[in-house]
Amino acid sequence: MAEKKIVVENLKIEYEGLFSIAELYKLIDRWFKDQGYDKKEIKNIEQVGHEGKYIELELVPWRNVSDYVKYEIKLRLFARNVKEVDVEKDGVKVKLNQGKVLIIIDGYFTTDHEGRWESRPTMFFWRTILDKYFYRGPLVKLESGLVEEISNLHTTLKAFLNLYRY
Amino acid sequence: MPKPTEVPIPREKIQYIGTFNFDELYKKMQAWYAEKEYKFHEKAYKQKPGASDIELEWEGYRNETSYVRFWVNIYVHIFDLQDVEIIQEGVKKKMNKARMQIEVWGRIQLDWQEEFAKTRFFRRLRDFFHTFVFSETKDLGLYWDKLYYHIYGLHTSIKDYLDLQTKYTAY
Repeated sequence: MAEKKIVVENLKIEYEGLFSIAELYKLIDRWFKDQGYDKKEIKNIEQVGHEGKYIELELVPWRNVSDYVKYEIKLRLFARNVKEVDVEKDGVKVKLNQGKVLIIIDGYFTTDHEGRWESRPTMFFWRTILDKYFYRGPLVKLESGLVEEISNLHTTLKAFLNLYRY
Repeated sequence: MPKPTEVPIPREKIQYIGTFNFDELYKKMQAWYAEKEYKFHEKAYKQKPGASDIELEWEGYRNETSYVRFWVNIYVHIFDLQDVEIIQEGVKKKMNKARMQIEVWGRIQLDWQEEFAKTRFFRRLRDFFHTFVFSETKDLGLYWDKLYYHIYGLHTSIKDYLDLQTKYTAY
């Protein structure tokens, strides 16, 4: 069994107003691809209602940093009352969406994701000693690498949504 | 412990409420199997008389090599299926309105011809091959990636047909 540690929990972005849900999804998908993550879409819900669309997404892309360390980012997106509206921008009509978005991001730092160090109790013992006293420095560095990546994603998403405010 | 000869690919789910054309969706998914050269088999088609729920279960396989076989499965559950008429770009169209859940997943089957399952010696030889020769990250990993993104292709084409806001893929 791999060991999973939560390094970022419930990092939220809330937005209400004009935006493009398709462009937002494109941005998220591209960001993960550019950072070398493999795609994993656990849930994709789209409901057409009287007050607009309800969209719910759960993505858990992952990246194997090494044979021992894996990054996983869980991104949940909830969009409510999403309606299509026509907006005039610089004299050109543009189709956008109006609604509420909530994005929640969690970051998981997984070690021994291939489970190689836990086949026997003695292996688990050696692994714990190595992790705590010999490999501690590199692990802390890799952990902060994941936090930095999530902070970059958070800033990118906020910047994208802020663009629509003006 | 003998090494497993089947490697799963996780399920991806789509839930949708709205209008669509059931026949077109059915054909689109079936065409995907044909296009990717999978042998297609409808495991189940359940519809009770007079009921508006439909359940479908499909399975398809493709022999990647004489040792590796890909399996792709689809499960569709449609609730409250109704016929509706809509006007799209000035033209009347017959469509369906329903709640729907689609699940797509797959698996890699190794030694699908069971050449190495006949005797204990051959089973041991297969375990040795899987443990020390056929590397999980390099050899099996390449097939896993290929099937994984095959399944994502199908997932994306379903999203594209339903015209979901999240139909884009960068992969």
